Amino acid sequence: MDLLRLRYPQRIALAGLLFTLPAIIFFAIFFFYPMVQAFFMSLTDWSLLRPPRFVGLANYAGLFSDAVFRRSVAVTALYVAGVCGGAIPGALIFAVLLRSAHRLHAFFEAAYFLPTVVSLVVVSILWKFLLQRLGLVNLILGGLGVEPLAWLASSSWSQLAMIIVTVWRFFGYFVVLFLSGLAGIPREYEEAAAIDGAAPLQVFVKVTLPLLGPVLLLTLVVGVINAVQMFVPQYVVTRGGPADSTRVLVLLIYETAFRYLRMGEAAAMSIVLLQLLVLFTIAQFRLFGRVEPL
Amino acid sequence: MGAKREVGLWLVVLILLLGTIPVARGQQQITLSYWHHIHKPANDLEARLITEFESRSPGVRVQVTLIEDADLNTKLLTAMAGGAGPDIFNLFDGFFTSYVTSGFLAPVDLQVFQAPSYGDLTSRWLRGSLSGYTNRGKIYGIPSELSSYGFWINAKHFQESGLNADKDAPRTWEDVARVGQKLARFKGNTLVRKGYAQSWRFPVRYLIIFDAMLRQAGGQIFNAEGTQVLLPSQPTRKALQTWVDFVRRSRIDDPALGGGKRAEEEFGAGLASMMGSAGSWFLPLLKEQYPSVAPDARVIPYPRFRGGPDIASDVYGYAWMVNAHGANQKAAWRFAEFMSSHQRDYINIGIFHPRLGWFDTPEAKNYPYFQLWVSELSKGSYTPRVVRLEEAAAVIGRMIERASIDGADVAKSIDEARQELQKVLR
Repeated sequence: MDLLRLRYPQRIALAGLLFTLPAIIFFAIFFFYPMVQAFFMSLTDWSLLRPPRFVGLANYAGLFSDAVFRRSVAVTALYVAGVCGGAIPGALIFAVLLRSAHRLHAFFEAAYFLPTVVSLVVVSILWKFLLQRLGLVNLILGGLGVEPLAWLASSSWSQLAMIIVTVWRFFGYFVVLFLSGLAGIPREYEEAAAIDGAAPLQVFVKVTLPLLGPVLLLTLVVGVINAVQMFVPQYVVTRGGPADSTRVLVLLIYETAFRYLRMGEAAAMSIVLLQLLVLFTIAQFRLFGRVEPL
Repeated sequence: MGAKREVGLWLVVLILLLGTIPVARGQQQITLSYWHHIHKPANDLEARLITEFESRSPGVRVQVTLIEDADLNTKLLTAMAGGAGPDIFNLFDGFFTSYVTSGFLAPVDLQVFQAPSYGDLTSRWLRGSLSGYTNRGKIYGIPSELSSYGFWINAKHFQESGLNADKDAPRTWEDVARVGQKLARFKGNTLVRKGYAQSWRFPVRYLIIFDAMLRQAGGQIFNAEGTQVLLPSQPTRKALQTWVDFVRRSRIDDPALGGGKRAEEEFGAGLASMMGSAGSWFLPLLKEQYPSVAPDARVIPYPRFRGGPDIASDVYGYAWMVNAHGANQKAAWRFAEFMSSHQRDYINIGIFHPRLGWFDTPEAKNYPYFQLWVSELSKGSYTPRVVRLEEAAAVIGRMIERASIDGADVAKSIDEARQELQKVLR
């Protein structure tokens, strides 16, 4: 093909294609191909030990009558809601406060981001010790007159414990996202609103928050996807227990695949999880995506 | 080039040539990969035996990989399925069925053991001790351990509580609740020392202990072939209710105390006065890791139900098994033969070998509580044999946790377990 004979728009398109080709190849090999493989795997009964046997949609049908799977979906939904509901508003408030704190800015920047850079396994082991019956958290609560809580040995408290660990982990990352969003909002808008007599809360709700819309959407999408994919704290701290109370879907997929060697079922769970995530992300874009970018 | 440098160069060449002599002779270097679960006394002993084996077997090197007991099966199965399993491994007998039915195991090399037939090989071990590793007339494992749980009590805690460790030691599960209440210590409303520590979080432990209690109550989880679920039943309700009552009624156990420690670790740390999750192998570990508690530890027979049959804790074992797809099967069986021939060394770490004559050795007879261990081993049943044992154990664990921790209805919890177990057996 003689490139010189191509018209300008065609050359631009070709250049674009060539530039993006490495990324496309990478995506095709490491993301698209495994996804297609997982889908075909989900149509089989495969234990890794014998050749796969085609079973059609039996794995999907079996999932919805499986009490363990249903419990795991419920646990995951509660966990994701707890993590996003705790981390996102908290990080937003912290970022707004941090923007106006000039003196300790550098200290806070390092302090809140530290959990994000520490290995998740280390974070989990650390919290495992903190949340023991005779651990530091209960010691502090005891000082406030609260009876020691069974953080890791009660279905309800262990769910909350996992949410706390994950919020602690995500918090710094979300603060960074919000700080970058806040940095893009010209101060003049807020100052103008204040001069017009708006109270600080009104300025935040009516001016700052709408302008942060795209960042909020990004944080929500990233937060949901990250929380859904999280399983290290549950694996390290509680192993999914007690009584399945912290067995999130990704942990169940891992166990089904590699502990029980039910690869077909695990693949079917993965596909269902993928579909749920895609649907949820589309819904988020529909609900919050109408905000004008800055 | 100077004369000295030239001599030096020739020396280097000579050393290199000497280094190649074994290869020139055609002697191949074999590296045997060996996987074992983490148990410090056994790991230390085997490290010494391996050095001896290597010195007696020129050209053979053993590469040991130690893995946490709870994770060994998962890692091993995945490695075997991916064709990357070790040459030889030491495995819990309950997992044998899934490995042998998957074609992962090589039958014992009779030539290595100088046995004309499997029958001859069987006759060298205690009656029945190789049956757990036999499939379709062939033997696939050489036993390295035969164990059952004893019941451990802390005599000092008994004394502190106004009890006599000899006279007041529990004989029944009903006694455990009664005595445990006297031994338990509370701070406010919070249990700070368990009267009795049950094993939490570890699925196979749940299975071993619950299966024993269920058999004592007159029931079973599965039929003998491992093809049918026998829940729910009155004995199942009795066994589970007993477990639940320790937590919710007599309050002698609390899964929150101990924070994921194993029951024997809680006992060793002085956080529990009684414990029933450790066999003869725990004594050396207790002495080494918990020297302050070890002198006060006593072992008594496993409790039974009042008026129930005389059934002890489940019997379980470990065995050396060889990868059917490994390249060094002969050398692997030689290694197993060498290790099993040193059965007397294992008594020092409390591991009983079911080899014929072993129980008559002075070393064995002098082991603390020897008669008790032998008596209990003879009164226990083997852990259930099902292909998906680990998954079944997880179901039993969930059933226990639902009822004990969440306070779910016992009958409902058993029924949920029945449904899940039926799926496991499919």
